[in-house]
Amino acid sequence: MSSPLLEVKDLQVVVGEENKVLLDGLNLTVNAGETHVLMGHNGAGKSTLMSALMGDPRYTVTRGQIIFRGQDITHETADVRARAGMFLSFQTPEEIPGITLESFLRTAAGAVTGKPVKVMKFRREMAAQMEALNMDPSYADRYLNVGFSGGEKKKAEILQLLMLKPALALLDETDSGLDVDAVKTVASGIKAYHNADNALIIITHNAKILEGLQVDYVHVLDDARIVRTGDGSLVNEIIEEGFTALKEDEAK
Amino acid sequence: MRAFETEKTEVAEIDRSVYDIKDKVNAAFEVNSGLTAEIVEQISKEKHDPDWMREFRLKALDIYNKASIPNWGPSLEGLDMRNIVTYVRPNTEMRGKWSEVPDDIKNTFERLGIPQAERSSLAGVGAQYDSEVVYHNVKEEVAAQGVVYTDMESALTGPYADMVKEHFMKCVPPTDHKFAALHGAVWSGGSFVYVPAGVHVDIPLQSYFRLNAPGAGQFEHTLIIVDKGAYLHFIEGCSAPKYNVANLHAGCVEIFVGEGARVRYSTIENWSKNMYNLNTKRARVEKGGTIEWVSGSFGSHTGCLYPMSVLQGEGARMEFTGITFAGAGQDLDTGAKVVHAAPNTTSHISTKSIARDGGVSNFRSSVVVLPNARGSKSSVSCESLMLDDRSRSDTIPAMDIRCDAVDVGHEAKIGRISEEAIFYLMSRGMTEEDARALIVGGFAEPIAKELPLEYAVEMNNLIHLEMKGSIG
Amino acid sequence: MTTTMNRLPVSTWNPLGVNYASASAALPAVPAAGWAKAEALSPALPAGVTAPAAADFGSFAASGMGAETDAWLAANANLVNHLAVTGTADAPVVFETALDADHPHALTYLTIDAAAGSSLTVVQVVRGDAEGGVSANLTRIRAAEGAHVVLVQVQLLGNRARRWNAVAIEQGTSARVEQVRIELGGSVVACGARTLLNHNKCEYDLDAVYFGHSNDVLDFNDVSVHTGRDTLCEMHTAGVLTGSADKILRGTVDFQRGAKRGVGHESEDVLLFSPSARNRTAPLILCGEEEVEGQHAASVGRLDESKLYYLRSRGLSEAQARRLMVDARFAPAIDKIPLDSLQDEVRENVARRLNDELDG
Repeated sequence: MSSPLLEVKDLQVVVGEENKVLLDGLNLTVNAGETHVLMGHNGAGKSTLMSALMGDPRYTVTRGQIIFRGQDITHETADVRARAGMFLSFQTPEEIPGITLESFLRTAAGAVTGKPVKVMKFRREMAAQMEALNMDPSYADRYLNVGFSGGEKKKAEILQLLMLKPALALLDETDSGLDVDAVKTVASGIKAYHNADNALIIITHNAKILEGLQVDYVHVLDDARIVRTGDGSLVNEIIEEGFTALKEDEAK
Repeated sequence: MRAFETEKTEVAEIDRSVYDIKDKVNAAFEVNSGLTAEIVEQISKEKHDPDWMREFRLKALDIYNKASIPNWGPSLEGLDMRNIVTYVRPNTEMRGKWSEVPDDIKNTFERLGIPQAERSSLAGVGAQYDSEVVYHNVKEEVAAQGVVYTDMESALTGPYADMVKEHFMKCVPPTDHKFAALHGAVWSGGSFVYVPAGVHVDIPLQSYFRLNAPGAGQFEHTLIIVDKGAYLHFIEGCSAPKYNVANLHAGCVEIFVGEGARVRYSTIENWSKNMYNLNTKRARVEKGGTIEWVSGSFGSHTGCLYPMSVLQGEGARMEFTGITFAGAGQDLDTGAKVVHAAPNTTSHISTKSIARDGGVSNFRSSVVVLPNARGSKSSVSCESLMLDDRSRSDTIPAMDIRCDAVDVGHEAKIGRISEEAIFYLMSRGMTEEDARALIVGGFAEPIAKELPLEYAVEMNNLIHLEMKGSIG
Repeated sequence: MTTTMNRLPVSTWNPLGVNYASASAALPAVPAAGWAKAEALSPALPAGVTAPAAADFGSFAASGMGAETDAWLAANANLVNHLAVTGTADAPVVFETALDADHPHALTYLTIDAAAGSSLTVVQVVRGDAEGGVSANLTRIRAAEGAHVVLVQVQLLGNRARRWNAVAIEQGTSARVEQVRIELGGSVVACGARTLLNHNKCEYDLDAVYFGHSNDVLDFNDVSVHTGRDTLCEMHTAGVLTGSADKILRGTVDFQRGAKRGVGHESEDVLLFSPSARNRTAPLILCGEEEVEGQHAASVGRLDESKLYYLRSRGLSEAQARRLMVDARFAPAIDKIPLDSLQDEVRENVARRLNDELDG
């Protein structure tokens, strides 16, 4: 068996001047082809894990290791991780005035692949993906995320996922704030992206986004670590019964 | 792309004779420490001025000697005012030597990827033979429309001599400030443009070519007269980094916008970083006319640049779009002035300032609405971006409103690049340096899109160059 | 006096006349017979507040009017009060002064020493009028760590007296000072407030209102100097100019290097009710620190004709409509006055002034 795509070993993450501990002793292994779902109540550390994996400078890793594709990236900057094949879909994507979505994505594609991007080919592919995501073509020429609605921002994130084709996609509540139809569109985008060579880690409170995906593992976070790991059936169990019931189960 | 393509043709041999003659003349001046009537007379004689111009220069000299250095704005201590003559009569011999070009300019050329052969030309040390040819071609093309486009010296004695006399320094009188007076006394070179009524000049006229003339870049005078209903786009070409031994630039631009006429005046200034750029630009706009300024300031050691518009006819309009980028060792004080002197006039000032690496990028403005300017509107909006905590960016606007039937608004913002935005871009694979450059480019984009394409491209290159090594 | 008053922290074009106050706002000459002290009521002091005979404000920060003016005001003061507060004062301390022909000179000097964690509201009211009347005031506030001081200044003079009002503030960590400055009367009104936000997390709010009429000269210079981290200032001014009133407002937010995460907002909204009034505004943001957020906005003009028409179509008289629009602009300041009766008095004063303008 080949080596795992991502290995997180005994990870401790702190934030702020007071060095508040948000993750402590977290372990996680993700192989190519897998889909992992992170669940847990607000503040359990799900988004922190995503940010720490991507290298958000606000968070500091004080112990442990992140191994991605055999390379220790624990202390690498976000761009190095992105070029290594990691992608984070942000909960609230930044607005960057003056840069159109298309020119931004072309620059990013060039950075990630390390090769010059063929403009016409890129435009055709981008137009096709935007159509699949039900995005108005005019968004390509609008400034990145500026004045986009919540739903449009999320779609733009998935568009980036589809264009940049990372090996590991971290999706942080990509379905929040979306209406039913938009969730379907985004879910089909994620499905289109996923294949045997890449992997997904998804934070969600909503099973709809997982439709059509084979969920391999569900991890429940609490108190800064993973407290339970199960298969896909855990998703519905948690949604129906809540974390409290789950915790009581644990206690027994 | 005209300017760029032609600049890239290099003439191998420099005709030294032009410089050699001037060197001899210079030697005589250097014994005088201050600026005297004799020196001004000599300049006047050398340029074959008409009598009125000689008298004008002497009057301006008198004003210059009495005026004091402004007590506000950037420090001008680096200027040797007691020995002003060294700025007036630079030793042009050094302009001929590539080896004398400062390292930072040479490095700029390296990074822009400009071949060796072209660099000396861009630096103003090469022959101007080529530019003259282009200039004459343009001249012929627009002459067919009845447009006059010539150098100031010829204009003074040519068929438009009376028109020049009637307008010369009427918009910017020598009494305006000390450096306007200095300009009046020692001006040399520059362009004269006259666009007859109703003529729409399709190609932008560029002063690019003219500035390479020896000594002409320092105190050049640009006089533009656009008659009723006509249109002109004039581009002031300091777009190449320019090397000058003498580091004072006190040029003057006067624009007369006739009834219903429209003039757009674009500049990308990238003087070498030892330059004191104290340029005065002003437009007078008649009824229903429009002046549009587009201004980018990147170069110079110290800059004071506030194009002014006097809206003296009913319904006259002005628009000012500017960007200033100050890096290490630079103190750039830029902005705009407007006087609403007639009813229903409109002004709109929109600027962006960027400061990094210890540079100072200040915005300064003045909006005056006179009592008769009823129904006028003015809006000012300025945004500043600080790229580190060693730099400075001050916003110093002032307005003087003497009429109640007006609508005057002003807004300013200052801030920095958000760390979140940088992280977002880095998470998409960009290096921190590229992420910063991209955001700064986006900040500047509203200005860039007002520029002709080749200048917008160059401005973007300049931003990327300036951002290189911006991460400590 | 040749004192330079209300100097703009960074100079600009001289012909605009905004670099400092004009000679017409110069400090008054000391009368040969000395100052004739105005009537002043001794305020009641709530628990926690004392009035020591002396206070050490020797080397204190300059006000917006400048150290020279401050020195003159302190030296000439004929009504001197010192307040010290510990704990939370449960009622405002109210100073009331009135000028009349026999007592035309109120030169007040007030110091407020707010101990750590204390909280106090001080109201300064001046009324009355006199030919050659002078209302000059210097208020110095030292707000220690976590202190909260509210200074409410209400100037209801008639149209003959002249007025100078200097405020200087030093703020400790997490201190908060709120200033309300309402200047309605006076033929000359010169004011300058300046605060030093040189400790972390301190905050300064200024809500100012002015009313200029006839040939009044109004000259303001308000400065917030940020050197501590996480500091905040909100400086907002609303004004009305009628007749040939001539007003200059300088407002400066000065972010010095190290003032990380400093925030400064300033605004001015000027209503012009006369074609011959003159309004000058110079809102500066000085910035030597990258990690800050500074903003200013100014709007100058007449009442919106269409709004006025709309209000009149609903049955309001022009005076009522004007008053409504002015009240809306003045409300943020007036609502902060802690005494209901004084709020009403201010609103009536504004209404009367607006009516006078319409009748005249």
